[in-house]
Amino acid sequence: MAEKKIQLATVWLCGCAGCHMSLLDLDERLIELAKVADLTTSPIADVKAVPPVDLALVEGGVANDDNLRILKEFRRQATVLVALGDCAGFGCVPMMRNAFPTQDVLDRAYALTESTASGAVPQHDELPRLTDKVRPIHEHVKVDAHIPGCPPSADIIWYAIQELLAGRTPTFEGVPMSYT
Amino acid sequence: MDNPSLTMLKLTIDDQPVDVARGATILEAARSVGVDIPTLCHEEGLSNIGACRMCIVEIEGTGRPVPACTTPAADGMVVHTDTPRLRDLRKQTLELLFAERNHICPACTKSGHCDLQNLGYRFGMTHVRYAYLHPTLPVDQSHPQIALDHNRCILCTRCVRVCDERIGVHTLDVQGRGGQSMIVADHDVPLGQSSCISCGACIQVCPTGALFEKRTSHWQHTDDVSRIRTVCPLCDVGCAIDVALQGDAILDIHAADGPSNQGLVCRHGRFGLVQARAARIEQPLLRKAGVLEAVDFPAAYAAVAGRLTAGLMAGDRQRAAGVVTPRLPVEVLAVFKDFMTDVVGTTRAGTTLARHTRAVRQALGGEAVHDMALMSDLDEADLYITVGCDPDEIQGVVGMALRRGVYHRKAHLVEINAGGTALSDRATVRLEPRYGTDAALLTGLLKALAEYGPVRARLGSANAKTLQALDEREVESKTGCTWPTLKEVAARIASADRPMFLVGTGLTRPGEAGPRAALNLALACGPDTRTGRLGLMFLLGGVGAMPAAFMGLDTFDPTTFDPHSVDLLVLLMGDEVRPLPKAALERIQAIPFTVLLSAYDTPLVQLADLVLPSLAWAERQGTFVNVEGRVQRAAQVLPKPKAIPDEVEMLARLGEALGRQGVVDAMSSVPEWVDRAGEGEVLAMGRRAGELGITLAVSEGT
Repeated sequence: MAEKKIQLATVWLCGCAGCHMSLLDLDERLIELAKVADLTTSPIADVKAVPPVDLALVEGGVANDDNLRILKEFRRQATVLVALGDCAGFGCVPMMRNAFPTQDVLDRAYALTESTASGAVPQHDELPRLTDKVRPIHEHVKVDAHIPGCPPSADIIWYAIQELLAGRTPTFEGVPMSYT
Repeated sequence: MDNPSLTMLKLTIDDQPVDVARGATILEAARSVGVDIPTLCHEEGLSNIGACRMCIVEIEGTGRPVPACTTPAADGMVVHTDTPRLRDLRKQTLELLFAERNHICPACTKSGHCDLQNLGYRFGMTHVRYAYLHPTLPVDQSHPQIALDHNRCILCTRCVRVCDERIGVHTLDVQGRGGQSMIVADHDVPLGQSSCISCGACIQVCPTGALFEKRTSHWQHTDDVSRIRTVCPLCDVGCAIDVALQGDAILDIHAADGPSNQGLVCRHGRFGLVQARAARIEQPLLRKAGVLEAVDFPAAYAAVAGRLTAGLMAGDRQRAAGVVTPRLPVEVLAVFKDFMTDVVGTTRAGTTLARHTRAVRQALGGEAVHDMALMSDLDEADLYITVGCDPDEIQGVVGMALRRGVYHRKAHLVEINAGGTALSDRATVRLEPRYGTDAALLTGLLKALAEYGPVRARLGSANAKTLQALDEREVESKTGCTWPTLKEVAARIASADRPMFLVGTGLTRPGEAGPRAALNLALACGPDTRTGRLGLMFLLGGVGAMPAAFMGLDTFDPTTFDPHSVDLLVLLMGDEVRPLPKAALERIQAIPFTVLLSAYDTPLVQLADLVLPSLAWAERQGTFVNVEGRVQRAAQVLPKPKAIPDEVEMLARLGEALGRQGVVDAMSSVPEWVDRAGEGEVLAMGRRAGELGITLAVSEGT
């Protein structure tokens, strides 16, 4: 393994944080990881700007213009960009809204829920705008590897990270994987 | 044909030499030696269409990969099934399937046991390289049990093929072209308003979550799902079923590949067995001053003993009688009969089908016979004559065979019943005789059939003479059917290679000779020359009907007895919730003391003086003997409720309360002829059905 630590960044876009929970489920293997990698930017570290990194793990698909901006920034700064989990890799559950017009989706969420007495869709220039469809990240940027699972198990994540640290693209034929 | 080179061929698959019969596909050849070629649109028992391209293989000397399921194996062929190129092509195919519609595994009821998902895992598919099409597709939820989610459909058409080829109903088909193709019901109507017969076979063959059972689709599936093979207790067929359990709850029921049902089951077996029923009876209830009150078991048993010794029956044990549902294992039927005879001391015991099973028993000469038609014979018959039955409605798997015969093999159908069936529009001839005139009609038919030489030879001169004396106009006036129609049916029967008579209960009045007349007709046609079996099946509507007939469990008929002749009635109904006929209910109402064993709070409870809890079908094991005479052991699926003893134990305790210690416990519960048969075997006892004599001298009415 390299003497110099690699720079690692993680982010979540349109995801549920489950993939990051699985990342934390690495448990004592996190110590192994810390020996070879410095975590720069991450929801866990609460650092938002991303410096140039060797490896970026991206959870979540692209559901709004802010997701897309962050994804493109990560792509610019990362040597190797990996889709972590099924939202980043397949679109997954957030993609279920693709059957409906975005305005209907917003109305349903903010105005028409049974528990809402009187609601309105928030409007502000600062707020991200929904994209027409939710898409996996490789439909927007080049992705170097995918780690499947909703969420990926800690074991699958560890397998993929070790492959990446060894300079290989992880493949999953013959590896016990799951989309759920 | 002795030269193997004419019938067998040799090829090489993945460096293995393979010998297969000429005509076998590459897929069959590969599977015969354990080479696992992945498939998706292929389903055992259905035609192959090569639609999904999962099973592509490379053949040396040819350029492009070919589907193994539709390519015949050839002599000297060298086949490769697992090359890097094939693996990559299969992965691409899978990605195209995922891109085409909306597959979201974590939100799908099929996740964890989905063929599409499993192939994704097998080929290491981590994402879809093609842009998703994101089509907006409907979910058809119009059917009470089955949902069709087009988002998850991969257009493999397994559902279309099973619906057509095995069920024979062909409700489902494909509309449109290419990626815009849609599975439709009939001419694109909602499934719930279509010709669907709700057998659910489409759910069982669907490789994805496109077709699923609504009842449990929201259940969170766990890994502890187990499947238990048992036998459906409902109709005469005795279908093998696989019951999936999640904890102590039934997740779903699949048709199993049993000897009688061959992988099929009807709506009653798939959905009816698990539909919500009335409230459960959980403890004994004793009527006091007109109101049912909960009591403990000893008090309940004592109440029966009290009624018996209090001079209720004036010392005449024949004033007691017993009625049992035929939807119970042979063991329970046998113990019930012996209990009534040896403990209560009456000879009067019968099933709710007693009048029909008695008529069948008498027709068969009062004893067991064998070599009656097998279920598999239905797929060989070229003419079906249904008499007073609607198998499509009651014995669904028989109905499916009729549909296959009529639709696919151009078999003819003659319907003789009151009112139409779903198959009436495809019947070659329909007769609607007056209720209770089936014997007269069938005997008239025999006379018309006697015009034909082979039949006349089998009849014998005495019978021929009797028939000659039969007045055609009398048959017409009695039955309401015209003589030319009978002659037309006779001509159909005479020209048929393998006629099959299916005889139900819909036209038979108590004591009449319908079954005898049907047997005469089947005998006049003769046993099948190839199998030696008679083309006759009695479809009485209960899996215990034939063993009840063989056991003579028919000495008491709940619909015709004189209510003043009974002081005590024991009704063992199990989980039966279908109402008894009005004639039975009126009579039961007049009985001074009725003991009811029932799993559910049915209207019969209101007529009972003592109610004892009974078990549901899934809570007991036992042996069923179906219409073929086939013996199948049913496994217990669910745990028995702790507070409820099984019926045999209850009858034993009741016997003790009546001062007959150990009598029931000592009963050999399984009739010896059942014990002798192996699992799945057809009984071969008594006389051969084909050797029974034609007996025209039958008394009509008792």
